[in-house]
Amino acid sequence: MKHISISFFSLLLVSLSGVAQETKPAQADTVAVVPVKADRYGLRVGLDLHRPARSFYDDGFKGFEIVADYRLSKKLYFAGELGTVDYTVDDDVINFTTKGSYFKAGIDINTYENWLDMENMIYIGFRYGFSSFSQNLNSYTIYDRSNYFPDVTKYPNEKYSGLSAHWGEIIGGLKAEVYDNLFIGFSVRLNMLITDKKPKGFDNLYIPGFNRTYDGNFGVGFNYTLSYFIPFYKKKIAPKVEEKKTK
Amino acid sequence: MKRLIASIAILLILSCYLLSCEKDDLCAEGSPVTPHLVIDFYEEDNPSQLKTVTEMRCFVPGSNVIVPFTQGSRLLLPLKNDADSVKYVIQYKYTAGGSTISDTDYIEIKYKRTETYVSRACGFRTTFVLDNNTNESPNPVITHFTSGDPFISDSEIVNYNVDDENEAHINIFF
Repeated sequence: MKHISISFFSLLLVSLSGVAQETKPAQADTVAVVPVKADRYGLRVGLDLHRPARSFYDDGFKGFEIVADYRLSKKLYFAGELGTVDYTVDDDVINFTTKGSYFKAGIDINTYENWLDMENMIYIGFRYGFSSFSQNLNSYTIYDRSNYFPDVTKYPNEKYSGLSAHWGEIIGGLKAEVYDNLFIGFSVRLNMLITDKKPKGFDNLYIPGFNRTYDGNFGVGFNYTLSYFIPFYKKKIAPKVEEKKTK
Repeated sequence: MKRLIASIAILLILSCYLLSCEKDDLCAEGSPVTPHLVIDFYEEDNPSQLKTVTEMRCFVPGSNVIVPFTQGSRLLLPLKNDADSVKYVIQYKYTAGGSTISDTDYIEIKYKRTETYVSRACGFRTTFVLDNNTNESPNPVITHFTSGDPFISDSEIVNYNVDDENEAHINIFF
C-alpha cells in the first residue's frame, strides 16, 4: 500500500511537471520581449501531500507538515518544515504510539540553471531538526525462544513524556512550477541523529520528523509538497556583457 | 529539460531504494533474550562428578509437550513469564542390574521476575532471581511422584540470577 501510494505520487509529479513544461513556451515568448531579466524574490509556503494521504490509508498514522522557503540570493534559500505526528507502530513484539511535533530549519541550494524566467529548482539542502514528543508503550510480547509456554503479552500502557531529539538532514529535491506561482516538489532526506532523550526502560523507535530509528543513528525521510510562491520584490540580472565593459 | 527529467528519475529511484532498505526485523541469534534455567546433574556418590543421563523426560504436569533434552549432564528448563513459580515432572530412566528402571520426581522452582527492554526486534525479555533456599521454604522443592523418597537426593542453588545460560543455576544430585 505504501509503495503503491509512492508510485502514484511519483506519476502525478512527473505528469504535472510535464504539464509545466508545456505551458512554459507561451510565457517565454512574452518575457523574451522584455529586455532585462529579473529574478523574483519572496516567500514560498506549502503543504506536504504524503502525510495527509497516509493518514487516510494508514489507520495508525496521523500527521501533517507545513513547508516554507525564502529566497536569499540567486541560488540560496532559507528553508524549513513544521509538522506533527501521531503514529502507532504495531510490530511483532511491540506496540507503541509516538506523538509529537517537530521543526526543521536550514538552507536549500539550487543547482539548476533555469531558462529565461523559469523558477524550477533541483537542489541540495541541509537542515537542523528538533522534535519534542512522547512515547506510549501500549503492549509487548515477552520474547522467549523456548516456546514451551504460550506467549505472554503485557499491556502496560505506560506513557513516557518530555522526550526530545536533535538531528541533521542532507536533502536532495526538486521543485517545479506547474501553474502561476504554484509549485509541486519532492525531496529525499538522509537523517543523522545527533542526540535524543530516551525513555527509561524503553527506546525511541520512532521520532516525529526523523522517522524510524535504526541502530546506526541514521534515518530516511521524504516529502511531496504543493506550495505557493508569494513574490515580494524583483532583482534585475545585469547582462554579463555589460559587466565586462565596466572593468 | 532533459536534465530535469533525469534528476526526477534519479530521485524517485533513490527514494524507492531508501524506503525498501528497511533493516531485517528478526531478533538476531545471540541477542539477550529470556533465559532458560540451567540445571547440572551430579553424581550422588561423588558430588564433584558430572552425571551423564541418556534418557530423561521433562514436562509440566498435565501437558504432553516435552522439554527438549537429548542426553548429557545439563538440562535447560523454561521458566514461566507470567507466574513466580513453575513445577515440572522429571521422568528419569536408567539401567541397573540389566533391567530398565523409571523414576519420577516433581521439581518446583520459585523466583521473582523482571522485564527489561532489549531491542525493536527482540522486544522485552524476562530475567529471574531465584528465591532463597531456607528450611521453612525450600527452593527448589523436590518431591516424589507418589509418596516415596525422590530419586533426586539433593539440590543446591549455585547462581541466583537467571539472566543468561552460560553457567548452571542449580545443581541436582542423584
